[in-house]
Amino acid sequence: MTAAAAGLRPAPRPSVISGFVPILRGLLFAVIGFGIGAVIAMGIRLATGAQAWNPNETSAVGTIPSTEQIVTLGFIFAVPAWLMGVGFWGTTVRQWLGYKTNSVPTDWRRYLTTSEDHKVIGLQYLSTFVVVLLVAGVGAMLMRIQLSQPANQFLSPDVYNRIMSFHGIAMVSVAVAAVMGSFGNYFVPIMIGARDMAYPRLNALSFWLVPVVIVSLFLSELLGGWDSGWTAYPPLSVRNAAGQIMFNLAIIVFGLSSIFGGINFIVTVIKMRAPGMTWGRVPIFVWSVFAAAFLATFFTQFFAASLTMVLLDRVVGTNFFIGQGGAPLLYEHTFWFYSHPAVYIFVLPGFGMALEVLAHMSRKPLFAYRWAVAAFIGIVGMSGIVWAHHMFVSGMPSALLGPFLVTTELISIPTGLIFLSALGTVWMGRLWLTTPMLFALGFTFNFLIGGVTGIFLADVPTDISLHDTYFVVAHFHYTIIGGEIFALFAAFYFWFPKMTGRMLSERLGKLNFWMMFIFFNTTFLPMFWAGLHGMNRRIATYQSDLANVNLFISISALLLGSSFLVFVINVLYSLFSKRAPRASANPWKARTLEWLVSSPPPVENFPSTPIVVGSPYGYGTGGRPHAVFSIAGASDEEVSA
Amino acid sequence: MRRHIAIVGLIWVVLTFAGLIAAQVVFQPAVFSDKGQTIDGTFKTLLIMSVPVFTFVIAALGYSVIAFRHRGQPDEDGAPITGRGPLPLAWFVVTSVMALGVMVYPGLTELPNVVHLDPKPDVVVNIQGQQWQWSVKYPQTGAKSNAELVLPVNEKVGFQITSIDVIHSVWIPAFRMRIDAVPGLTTYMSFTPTAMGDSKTDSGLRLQCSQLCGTSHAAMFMPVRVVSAADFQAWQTANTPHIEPGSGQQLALTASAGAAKNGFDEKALTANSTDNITINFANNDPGTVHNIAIKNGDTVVGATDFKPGPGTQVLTVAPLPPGTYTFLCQAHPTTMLGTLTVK
Amino acid sequence: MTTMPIVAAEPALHVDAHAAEGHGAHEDEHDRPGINRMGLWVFMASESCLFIAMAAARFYLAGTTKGDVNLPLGIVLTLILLTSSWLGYQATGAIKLGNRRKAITALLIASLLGVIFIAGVGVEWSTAAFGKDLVPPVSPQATPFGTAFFAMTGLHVFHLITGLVGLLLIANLLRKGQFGPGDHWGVTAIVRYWTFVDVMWLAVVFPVLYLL
Repeated sequence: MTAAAAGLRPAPRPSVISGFVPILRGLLFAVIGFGIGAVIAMGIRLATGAQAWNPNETSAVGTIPSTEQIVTLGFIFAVPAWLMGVGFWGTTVRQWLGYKTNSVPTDWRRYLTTSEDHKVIGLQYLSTFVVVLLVAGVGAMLMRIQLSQPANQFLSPDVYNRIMSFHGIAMVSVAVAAVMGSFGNYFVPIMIGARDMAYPRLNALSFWLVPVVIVSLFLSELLGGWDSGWTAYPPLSVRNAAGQIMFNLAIIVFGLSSIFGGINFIVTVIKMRAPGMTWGRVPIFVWSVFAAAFLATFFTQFFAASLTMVLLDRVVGTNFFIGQGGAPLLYEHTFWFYSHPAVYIFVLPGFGMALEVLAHMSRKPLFAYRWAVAAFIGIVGMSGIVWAHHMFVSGMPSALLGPFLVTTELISIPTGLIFLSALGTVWMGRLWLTTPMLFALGFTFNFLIGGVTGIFLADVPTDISLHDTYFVVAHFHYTIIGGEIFALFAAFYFWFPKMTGRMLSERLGKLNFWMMFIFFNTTFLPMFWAGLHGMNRRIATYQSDLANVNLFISISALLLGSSFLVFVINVLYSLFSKRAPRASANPWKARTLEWLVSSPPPVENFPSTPIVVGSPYGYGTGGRPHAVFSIAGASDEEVSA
Repeated sequence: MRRHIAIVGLIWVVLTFAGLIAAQVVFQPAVFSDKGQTIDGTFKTLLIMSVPVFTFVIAALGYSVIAFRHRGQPDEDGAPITGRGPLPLAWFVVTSVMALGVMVYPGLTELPNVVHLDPKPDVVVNIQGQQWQWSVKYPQTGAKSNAELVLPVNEKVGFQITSIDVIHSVWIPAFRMRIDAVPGLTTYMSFTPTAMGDSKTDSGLRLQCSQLCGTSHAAMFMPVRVVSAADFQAWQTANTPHIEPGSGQQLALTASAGAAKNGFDEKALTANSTDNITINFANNDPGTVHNIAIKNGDTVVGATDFKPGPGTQVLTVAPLPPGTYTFLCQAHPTTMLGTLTVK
Repeated sequence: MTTMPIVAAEPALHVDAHAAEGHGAHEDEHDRPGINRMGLWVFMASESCLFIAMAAARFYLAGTTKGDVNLPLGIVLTLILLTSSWLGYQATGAIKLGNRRKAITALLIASLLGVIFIAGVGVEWSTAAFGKDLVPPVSPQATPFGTAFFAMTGLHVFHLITGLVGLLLIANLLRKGQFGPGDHWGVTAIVRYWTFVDVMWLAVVFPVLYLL
């Protein structure tokens, strides 16, 4: 009952600033935590007979800079301090100490603190990563302005390298976490008929580690930034500016977030499916997130290990990659052992979302569903044995070249099954060419190019010539943007009505799609040609005979960037204009469980546990629903948005 | 259903035909090595193999979007085709055969041709990468250059490559060959240049660093020239530093009695970076054996024999790049040492 | 009939009379203890990948050569950890029978043994011949084995400290009256994690550094 009905005074409306208290408190605690860690580091230094802090030391050969040791230990204390300040002290640590916990507000302020509702967390992830995507996109625009002319001086080489490095890791983080963190968190529990994820608090932790990552990457500029790319190979990453350690520390934290998220999804999908939801009735998007979760949970540790080893070389004096017996190739093996499976973390949820949209918008069963699931499992299994195809020219023993060529070619087989499923699904369907459907179709076209060009890189002879050229840049932008980001947009347009209760404009949506599709292809298709004609990666200036193609690419890239503005305008209009149309519970007339509840869904997702009685893709079968709800009361309430 | 399949099949055939014709267009830049020709041929083969795969998906997808689209929201479902029949298995078998095929040819069949290292190359070249320049040495003749890589046409060249600081990568686009330069490792590649040329006529004839190595990575490249055998000999001769004993700038160094404990008389010497450096060492320490050596870090640049005093010894070395070096007596390295500064 | 009507029309929701109570009714439908157990196992499996990665680095850098480790000390440290895990197991058994005091005592002694273990590792670090050049800020001359040794033992100690903090927190909660025969997941979980840290030493760190 309301406070008024209980005879109490109604609670006063919370001020805007009170909503930001958790974040501000988190920042304050982080600064204090950093100070504590820094003091301890200086104390240890004094105890070993060194100067507490010498700000003039650099990471030259044979020295260990005091600044880096102090910042590292400060960081290690700052992270838990931040977490406690932003809300975990009240909800979690107090419980661990045996005190009463504080609850999280239930109004708009819950989005700014440690809410444990998976829908809130999903929206936190979505809004954060859309912003990161746009900021990293601005980085790309700056890079392309520099590259519009061969000997341009718009950005100095060092600034270019730092922007390029930031663009790389920011986009990789979007690729890893944007889909699973936003749509995975929001919709996996609903699609399997659960009330929340298996570990709601761990879920909140996964999200609130993300601001640490973003802030750290920006703070690295205070220490000189880092210029070693997102791959951060040593010895360069052991010798370069001190900002490198912020990258390493930040990404270790990001790895933790990813691992916790993976554990959450694995257990949720195994243990919390509604009655009647057999494995054969699980929606393909859920399968894709489940598969990607295994990759995140088990392989991310190797990325953390490689980054830790670089940190130890810088901060403690070990010789993993430098000095006596140091082996830079150890980093490459360890790093790529994670980073290849990582691209399947990017793309599997992309496959899942695209197939989901294709099925519902074609009003047909997902074609060869079991084979698609088998393909996901096959990709997960094989992703761990292909990594050294990133190292064909690294100087590793040549006996490894043939085996990795073989395994890399083989992984194209399960990937091909996804195309079977996509093509078979739209075949003989009733295609409703809405914006989400257009993005899903665009995904299929783009990923075809991305996938086929991968064959040229899997083949060692051609890879020798194409490695580290713009051919590779084109290939991975085709698979990641053309694949995952297009699928992300398909999901966004598909699920926006469900999450917000409002419809996005179809006209702006179609404009968004066509601009993105056309300019994406005009930007990245010529890059294959540039790579074949001698343009290597990660360079701020290039040979003058590549001027025309680069100018064309840069102009296309700016136009591609503007297509994102259309997207932003569409979203803002739908969210904030009073004239934006409202969404019904099921505007697409789709069958999966999220469409059986209101838009947005109620807090507990379902008024009662759904009982699954059929496939989510039972289109054209004349009558059998996907799920029914248990009947307890006699009232028949119609749910409207 | 059959009509649809027939139309898609027809579209596929037409597109494949068009694609195969388009794939004949010459789009690869001029190639200058034997292995490069193999690589270009492999690329062409893969391109031709990928045409029917690409056009198949385009035909099926494109036709579906046109033929099966509904204006507005559909009022009925599509046919309940689930794909539980033999089609997925057939697809799996066909795609597996294709993957195995392309893996074998042109994958495993061409791989040994391209990575094979010639055990007896005609010309050996040592390449050293550092932030941010290349230096090449020809150990067979002593020639060296920091300005260009020159190779003879139609002779087998073997490269030995390393780096002294971070990972770089040796890439010469015109040869299509690439291998990383890793500190602590020596990496190898070999091939035969098949045509003459230089970077002014072909921008691919350059030794470009192809692994991000820091600030000036983009500018880390060196011109490459492929010349006739005669011109190659002439270039090597012209680029072999000749060290005439006693030539160049003259520096004086003295060791007096008790030098083993007190060191050289001079603790610091300076020189310029353009001329040979000659140290005239006067050993005035009777009965004690000394020598004079110059070190760059841990590497010995040059050294004389050990001789007892009194006597003089002359050490001449090629011009050194600007920097700080150590001169020392290797018999008494902790006490008899000083700094040689080259400007 | 060739047309198939759209089935997923407006949702026909039969609102459950219990719906107003919120999520309580639903929670009972899921196997909460099983969910908790599975999550801990998955987490431990994931963490073991980190130790495997570092062990692989040890072999990549130093092959099977071993530095001058103090094997007797290593064996003593192993025994300390085994005893500590056994005490953890005692603690779980005790709280299952409601014996709060025994559980607390067992956890505290287990923690103390953990602290002794850390001190022992410190002794190994400071006396190891291959490590004396590893103390910053001296210019690093660490051997490959020394590098692997410090990294692996350091990583293990880091996990041990997190386990220690957990043991002490749980012991404190026991002292405050929490947990009992039917509700002891916190105790079981921390002891299981503590045993995991022990197993990492026993199965990965110790053999790879001391026995090969």
